[in-house]
Amino acid sequence: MSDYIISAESTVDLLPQEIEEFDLKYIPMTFTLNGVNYKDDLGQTMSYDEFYETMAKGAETKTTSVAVGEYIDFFTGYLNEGLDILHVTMSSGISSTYSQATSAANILKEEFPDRKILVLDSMCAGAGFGLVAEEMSVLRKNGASIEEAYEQGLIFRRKVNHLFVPTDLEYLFKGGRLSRTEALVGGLLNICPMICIDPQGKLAVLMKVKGKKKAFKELAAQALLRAAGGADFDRILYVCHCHCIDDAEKVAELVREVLPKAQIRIGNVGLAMGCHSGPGGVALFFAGDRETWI
Amino acid sequence: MIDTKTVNGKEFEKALAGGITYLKAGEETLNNLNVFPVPDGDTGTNMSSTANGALHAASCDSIGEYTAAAASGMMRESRGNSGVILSLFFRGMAKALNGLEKADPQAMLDALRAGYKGALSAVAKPMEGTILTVMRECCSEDIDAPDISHLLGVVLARAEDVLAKTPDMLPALKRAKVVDSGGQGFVFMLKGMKLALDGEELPAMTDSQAAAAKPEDEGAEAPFEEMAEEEITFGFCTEALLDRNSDTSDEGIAEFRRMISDMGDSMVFVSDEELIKLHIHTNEPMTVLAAATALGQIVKIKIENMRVQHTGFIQKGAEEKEERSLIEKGGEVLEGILSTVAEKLPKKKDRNAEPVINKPYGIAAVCEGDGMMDAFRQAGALAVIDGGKSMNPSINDIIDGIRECEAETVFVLPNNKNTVMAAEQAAQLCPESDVRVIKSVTMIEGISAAMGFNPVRGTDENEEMMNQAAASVKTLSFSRAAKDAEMEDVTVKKKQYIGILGGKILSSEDTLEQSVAALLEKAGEADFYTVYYGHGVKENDAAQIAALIEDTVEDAEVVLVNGGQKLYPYIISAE
Repeated sequence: MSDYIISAESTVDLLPQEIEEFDLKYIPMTFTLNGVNYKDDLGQTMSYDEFYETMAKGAETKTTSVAVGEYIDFFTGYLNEGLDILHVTMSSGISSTYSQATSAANILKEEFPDRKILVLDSMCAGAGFGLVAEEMSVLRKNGASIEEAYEQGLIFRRKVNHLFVPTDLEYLFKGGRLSRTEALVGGLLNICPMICIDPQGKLAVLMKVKGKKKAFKELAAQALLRAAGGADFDRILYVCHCHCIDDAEKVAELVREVLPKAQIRIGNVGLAMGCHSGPGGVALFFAGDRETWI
Repeated sequence: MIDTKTVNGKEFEKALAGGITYLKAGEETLNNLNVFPVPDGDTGTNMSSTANGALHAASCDSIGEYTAAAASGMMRESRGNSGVILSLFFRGMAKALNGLEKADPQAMLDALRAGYKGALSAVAKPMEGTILTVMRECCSEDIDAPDISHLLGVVLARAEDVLAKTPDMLPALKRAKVVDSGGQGFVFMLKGMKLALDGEELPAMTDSQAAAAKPEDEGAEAPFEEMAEEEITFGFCTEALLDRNSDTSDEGIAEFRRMISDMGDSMVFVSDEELIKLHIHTNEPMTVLAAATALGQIVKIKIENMRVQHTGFIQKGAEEKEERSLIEKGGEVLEGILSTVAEKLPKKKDRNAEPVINKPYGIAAVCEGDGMMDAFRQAGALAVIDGGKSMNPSINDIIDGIRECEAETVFVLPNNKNTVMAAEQAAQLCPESDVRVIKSVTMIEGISAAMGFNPVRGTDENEEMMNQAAASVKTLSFSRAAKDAEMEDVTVKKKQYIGILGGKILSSEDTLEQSVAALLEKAGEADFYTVYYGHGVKENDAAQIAALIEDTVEDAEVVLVNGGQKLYPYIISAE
């Protein structure tokens, strides 16, 4: 009996049809572009292309976390319908959404003592965060209770692999997501870092590779090494890009060679994340076998 | 005849000083005993500066005590393979002489044998036909000598005999028609020791001697373009004669020498207890002179603009008297200028300061060339150790680099096969850090190793990953041959463009482009190439080499970096 909704912030970076496919609810984050506030509604109001192009022209961007009050309003609607809530947040290592959502849940528990509101820190970002939300949905579909799904989520979140090769680290540095030392790499020697998420849910440099071509090959090699079931991996694998679909297709092709059964989906690195990564860059998101990140 | 039935600390000190002087006199000769047709030989310089370290030892009567101090001094200053081996030889001797006030011939012979064992212990893969062979053979048989002088005479004769045979043991020597340079250095040292012990005169060091030993073709050291256009790279012929200050140490002189050697070429440098004579072609004559004032008082200087003949600071052909008077007249002005320049010179490091540890990891890389240093910093090195043109820093330089990291674990990138041993010795002298020496033998391998480091991994895992990363990249180096040579894979003609891969010359062609193309083929295809162009090479010319790679290797990414390195005008990494 699926008497609970599964929700997440818009930074799950899934397409509207995927939100529908997995029966998820989402709460939009706010991003600012050239001083104007926009709701992140998965590229419907402002297309990803438009966003990245404006950014490439030097537009100032920033994201605003979801306020406790916004969570309260968002959750209250479902609670009034008598539904429980399993809310998945973006990694607490990157965003403060987890603490705001938790505060909202604690406040609402007083008002709705009979309802369950569970907040799961995905420890993931981008479509990796999306994969955690999707996994919750699959568990619900298979009959898991809200508590069971939450417990499984605590394990699953550790198995999601993030492999991201940005082409311009200056944005990540400006956004405070990478230290200056890490952002300094590249430049002179054309070093591309491969970024992953560490056990604290923060961005970290997994390795450094010279040149985009080698970095893309390495993405595929790492996918084969880490994917659940190795070469037999047959689950969803997201190849997301920051306004460089050609690169994403190249990477998808390389991944297809090593993981022929994978359900490869090409997607976008969404607006909230994109504010930090900037235009350019390809990321892979997929489930692994082990709690491993390095 | 001096009585040498036994030798005490002071007598041995005198002998050793003679050996050091003789070795120094032969420095250029040794540098030129180079098997490689690239003028990268610096065995003489390395052995000489290593031996100089013994001069720090305090005099004392006990031969055991004195030799231990001398060996420790050499150890600190040792650089290059032959230098490290030489210092270990004396350390071995010191162990055998430990506790002795004086040595008789048998004790001395035993000490020489212990010296050989000490030297051998540090060499991973000892080869016949090298300094080690000479060290072993000179004292392997029993010698019935009435005194140390006779003993050294026999030892020297045997050393000379076996040295002459080294070309038969090592094909590389035979092809280059030379004897082993390290072995020759050891023979020089023995000879000087014997002469000094007998109270005989040592050979005087003269400019002409040093100059005569310079390679006949100096142009081969200059980058390609300069040779073609016959430009003068360093415009001022600068000479100085200094009264050495009483408190000027040999270490200070060695440091000065290293510093200015990067500022010009055609350097001739001679010093003894009282005088220092310097000759260098440089673009920074005032900086050189300002640095020299720290060593002694200027007696005489000459600066000549080689681009404009017959003009300069002091008229060419001026009488010595006039030069003196000019210096006297302009003395105050000159001193003012020099002290201003001197303030800008790099400050000496305080080696006695307590080591600081404030981070888990650090990487210290030996490199040369401003651009290469930047590249290493970008690849993650916290400390770059200037190895000089020949990439042979002293152990002290490496220790400074390790300490600069201020880290619990320091990975040292020696980036030259002749620096690995020095790095390992430096590691032992830095107990405050866990020092791991990565087996990177080119700067390219070093950069790759630095990139292989990851702060989230453990020390052992990082060491393994960095060694793997070093091995995963190919280094293609290009230079011009200074002489004809018959190599294993290729016949080299003087002035041809030679390409080196994996330490071997694999291409030698009349044009650089041909040589690059030939070596690219031998290296096999790679995804990513970086062309590091050296000191004096024009960016446009380097861009043509980059274009050549793009044309030759399909789909290759090529990056151009101004490395500024001196020895190889072009170094290309393929990975």
